[in-house]
Amino acid sequence: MKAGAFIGALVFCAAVTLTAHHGQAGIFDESRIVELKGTVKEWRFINPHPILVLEAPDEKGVRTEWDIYFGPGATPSLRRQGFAADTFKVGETVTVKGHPAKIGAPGVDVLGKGTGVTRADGRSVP
Amino acid sequence: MKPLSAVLALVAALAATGVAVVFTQSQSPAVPAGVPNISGTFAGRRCVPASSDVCPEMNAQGAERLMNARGKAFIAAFDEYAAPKYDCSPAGVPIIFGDPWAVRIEQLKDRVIFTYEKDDVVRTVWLEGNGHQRPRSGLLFMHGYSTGRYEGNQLVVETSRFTFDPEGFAGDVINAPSSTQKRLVERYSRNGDTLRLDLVAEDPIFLLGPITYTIDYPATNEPLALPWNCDPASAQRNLHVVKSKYPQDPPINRRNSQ
Repeated sequence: MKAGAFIGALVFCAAVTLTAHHGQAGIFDESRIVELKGTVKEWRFINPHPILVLEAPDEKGVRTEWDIYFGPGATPSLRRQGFAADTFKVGETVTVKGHPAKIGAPGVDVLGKGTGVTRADGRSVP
Repeated sequence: MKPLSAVLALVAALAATGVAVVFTQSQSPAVPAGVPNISGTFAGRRCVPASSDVCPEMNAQGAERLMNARGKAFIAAFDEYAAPKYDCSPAGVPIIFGDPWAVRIEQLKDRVIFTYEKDDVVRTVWLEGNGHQRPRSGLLFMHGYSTGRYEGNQLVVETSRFTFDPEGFAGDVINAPSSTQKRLVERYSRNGDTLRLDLVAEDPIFLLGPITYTIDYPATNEPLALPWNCDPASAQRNLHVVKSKYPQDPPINRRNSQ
């Protein structure tokens, strides 16, 4: 029973994320997923939208500062999903899979199927 | 014996026998007698039906279908860089109804207070028949001026006197505006632990006709995560991934008022 409730909670979280309404589709290319491996420069767990700032190479190999978004999420919703102000440590290595910004700017949106953040040991975040 | 006196007598009798008396959110003692109880905290809104081109927020198809020529012209010209939200201006109504954050409703004798987790927005609905003075002519408000009344099992809220809002019906790149002629009628009713909002929005300046939609909000025991404390620098950082429609203009150095 407890396991069933836990799985149910996970499904609910996913549904909340997928039905969020802000203009992600207008800003990010939801038909593509890019993968970035880099080091955390900053984790801004703050409203209106928490941002993970990641230093990682761009497609030409140039070290670039990327803004990682989590859909339209704000601190209340991300906290309910398990994120917190200390989720990421400056200097730690993470891998991000997400939708790239349509305008080619160094920004990625972690939202929906196939996207996510994993730590160096392979554990997914949160 | 009057109903309230009877309840108090029952509570006193139960307390005297050592039986614990617990008020749940649906039995809040603050709700005035004789009115439908819609008090509580609600989160996780669900559009009814599950999705449409206006719920939880007007999308591009909705704007194409519902906005008049004036509204479409505004959308075509408006630049995301001019959106007030990048200076932490709060979300307006009806947009905030579709946001996926929580709302707390408190029913008092002469007013109903809506506290939204998003943007620290608080709306006061002045219940009719309590002698409230209307604001003087010329005063307009971001979230309008709201009056309310109970009809059967519903709280009916009518709101007008809005300021112009470039994202009044949709934000985030869509940018469907609303005018000072925007009028909303919200009808709230409760079925168990679900609060239902039936909304009618009108705006003859920008809409071809009224917009109607329905949202269900499940009750929650979680408190609101307040304060929201929007950070302008973080809000503006979102513009890194947005292209201006007017790149030939001088760059914008936004000043933060905080």
